[in-house]
Amino acid sequence: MKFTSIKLLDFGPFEGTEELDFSTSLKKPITIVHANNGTGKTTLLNAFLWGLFGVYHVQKKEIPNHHAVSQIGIGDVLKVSVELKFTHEKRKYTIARYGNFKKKSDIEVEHLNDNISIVYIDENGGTDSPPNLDTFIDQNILPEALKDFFFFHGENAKILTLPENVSSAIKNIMGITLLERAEKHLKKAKRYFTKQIDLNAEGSLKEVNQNIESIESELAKILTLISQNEKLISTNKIHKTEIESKLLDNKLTESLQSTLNQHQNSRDSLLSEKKNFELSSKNIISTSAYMILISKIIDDNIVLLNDKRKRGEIPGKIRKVLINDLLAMGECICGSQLDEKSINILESIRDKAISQKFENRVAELTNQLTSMKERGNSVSDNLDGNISGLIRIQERLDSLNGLISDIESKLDDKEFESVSDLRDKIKEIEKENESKLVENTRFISNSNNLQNNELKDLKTDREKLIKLDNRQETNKKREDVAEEAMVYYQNLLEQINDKVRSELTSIFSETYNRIMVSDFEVLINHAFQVEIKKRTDGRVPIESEGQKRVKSLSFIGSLVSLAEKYFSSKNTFLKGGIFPLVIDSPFGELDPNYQSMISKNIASLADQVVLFVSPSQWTQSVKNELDQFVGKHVHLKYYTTKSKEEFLQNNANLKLIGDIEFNSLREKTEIN
Amino acid sequence: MKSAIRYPKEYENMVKSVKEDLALFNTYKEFLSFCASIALSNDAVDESFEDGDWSSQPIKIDIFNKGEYDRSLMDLIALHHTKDISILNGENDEEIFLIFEKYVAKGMEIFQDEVYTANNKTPFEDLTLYIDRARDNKQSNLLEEFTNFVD
Repeated sequence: MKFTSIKLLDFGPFEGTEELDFSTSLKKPITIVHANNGTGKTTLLNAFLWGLFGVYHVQKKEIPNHHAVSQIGIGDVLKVSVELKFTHEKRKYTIARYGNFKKKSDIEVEHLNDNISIVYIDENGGTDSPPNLDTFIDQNILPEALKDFFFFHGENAKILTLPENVSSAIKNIMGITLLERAEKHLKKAKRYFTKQIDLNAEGSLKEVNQNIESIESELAKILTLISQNEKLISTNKIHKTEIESKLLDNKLTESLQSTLNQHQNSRDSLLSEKKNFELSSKNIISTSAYMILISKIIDDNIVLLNDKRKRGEIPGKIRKVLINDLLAMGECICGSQLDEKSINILESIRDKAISQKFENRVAELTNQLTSMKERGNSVSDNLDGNISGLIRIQERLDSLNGLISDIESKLDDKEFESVSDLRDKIKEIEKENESKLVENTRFISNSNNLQNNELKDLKTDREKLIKLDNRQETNKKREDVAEEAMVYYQNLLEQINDKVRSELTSIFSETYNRIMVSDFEVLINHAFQVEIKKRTDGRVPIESEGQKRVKSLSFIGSLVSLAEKYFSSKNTFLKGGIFPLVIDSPFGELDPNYQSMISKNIASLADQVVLFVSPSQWTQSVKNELDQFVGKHVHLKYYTTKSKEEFLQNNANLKLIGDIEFNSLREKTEIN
Repeated sequence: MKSAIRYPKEYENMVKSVKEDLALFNTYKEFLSFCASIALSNDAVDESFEDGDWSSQPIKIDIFNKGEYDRSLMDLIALHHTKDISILNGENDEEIFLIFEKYVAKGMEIFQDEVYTANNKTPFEDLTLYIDRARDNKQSNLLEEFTNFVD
């Protein structure tokens, strides 16, 4: 199956008719659909599912285009359609699904029904339509049960390898279910002929047949129980190893938690130390930092005051009081009489002389300034000491914060369950497995007993009695042939199962290891489940999201690849087929490393790959890896009624690529 | 006789916040002295202080008198401003207080611009960074190193 185009009519945000062609090139098998988040990527993925199977992941009322609904009257019916064109086994198919939606009110739309049309052109140019339209796709092109393996959102890929999903997928895609069905039919045929023998039997033979039937029915029940138990034991074993790995991981988690606690305690005490340093620094700043600011001015004024002292202006060597006394006495200090010239000089000196109070104040200021200068130096040193302390603490805090953040992010990735809970779970599983094993031993013993003794004897009796009755000869021969064929098919089925499992494991492992270097080993086990274990100790590893995604994509890719191999080789028993992959946001939520790994290998997973990517996922490294395989780029252009500012407010993380038209009349998406 | 040191009304909220909310200073008096020192170290003065509105919560001079160096700081500012030693003769205290107020007002303006509304780091870090920048002798750049480090 290879898609050539999809055409939408009034489907979701796609108004009117919109069409998208896909790359069908072998060398460039990828089609990239570029679209911003919320502009129609998922709707397009849903259009595939709805077109093929009539299923949709959200409510059907979301299918009709809002504008188209607004254009019809209440009570009118809107026809919505999806038309898919694809090639499959040398035929060109056109499948169109029409949905009829009745407008009940301005806000309510009722989904009335769907019609489907399928037309194909065969390799000779003949046109035809299959009779069984509703089941045709499911039974002849792509089983609906497998839709999630070929049309999925990248973030959901990891669930595809869950045990319950894998087994049926492998059997369906490889056509093993047909063999299983054949085996069941042969069983039925054998039972039919046995019943014919029963119907014609009389007397002892009838009684023997009834006993045989009763024992075989008993045996079938026992075998079903044994098989159910074996399946449960196998699933339990996988769960047990998962839990054991969790337990191992929990020990690491506990150790991480303990280290985290130590670091957090150290951080708390450092924060408290930092607070003390800050308080002390604040106190220094509040009381004395001003002295640091004015230290030069203090110096200048100490020099100024000392200068004045040198010039004799301070302290006054001659005081006003003394000069007044001398002038009153008319005598010099040496005892001689003052003449007029001396009196004039003394009066001039008296005017310049200062008071005791003034002198004391200047002297005190000089002392204070000297003291402030010293204090300022000491404050500056203290402050420097405190700041050095703060730097030291901050260095340690930064280092601790880094360690704490690393551990916290490691712990955030873990789903923590207590050790005792996990141990309890293991005990429960062991207990259940033990009881199922005991039960199976009992069942096997019972069945052996029934088969080897009672059934064997009854069958011998039956052979003898049938020989005596010629009427049963034909039915007996038919019964024998049916049994022989049944056993043959059982053996064949077993061999084919082994072959598929082994080949699938080989491709799966090769694909997984090609995409990602790790010490993990992947395989398909006997119960057709995906298993992953460490090469070193065989334990189930705890996988990251990226590793789970790689595992799922590798599994799907290997399944597609094996199906294609058998399809090409025209194997009698294994049907196979060619299947495309349609993946929405294949790189979403992945770190760049995994984005690069997946993009490097995605082209090799299927003959046709359609990827829906948002601008943030279309990174340079993804582009570099994918470009050589991309046959077609398609852009979804989104029209919004919002202004650019308004739009960005609600989509803060949106990386615009020019595919959005703002201030439009209505919301819609176009395919460009 | 003047009994309190006034400061401009426009800085009333800042003064309260610096003391009460940010707890950068222990007392209002210490903040006023710090601001006056900022203006002094910048050789800047608000000559139009008397023309503006004043806070209704001036700081009593008695509080300054109790401080070890507060009156000396006032004298130093007055001496530096007038370059006349006679300002200290005991008869000019009113003028000394007024000069102090003018320096406080200018210092508050500078503090507001360079510390209070800087918002580069935490208020404590902005203050320490300012002190480091304003040091007369730039021998040490520890504070700058500190504030860069905590970024």
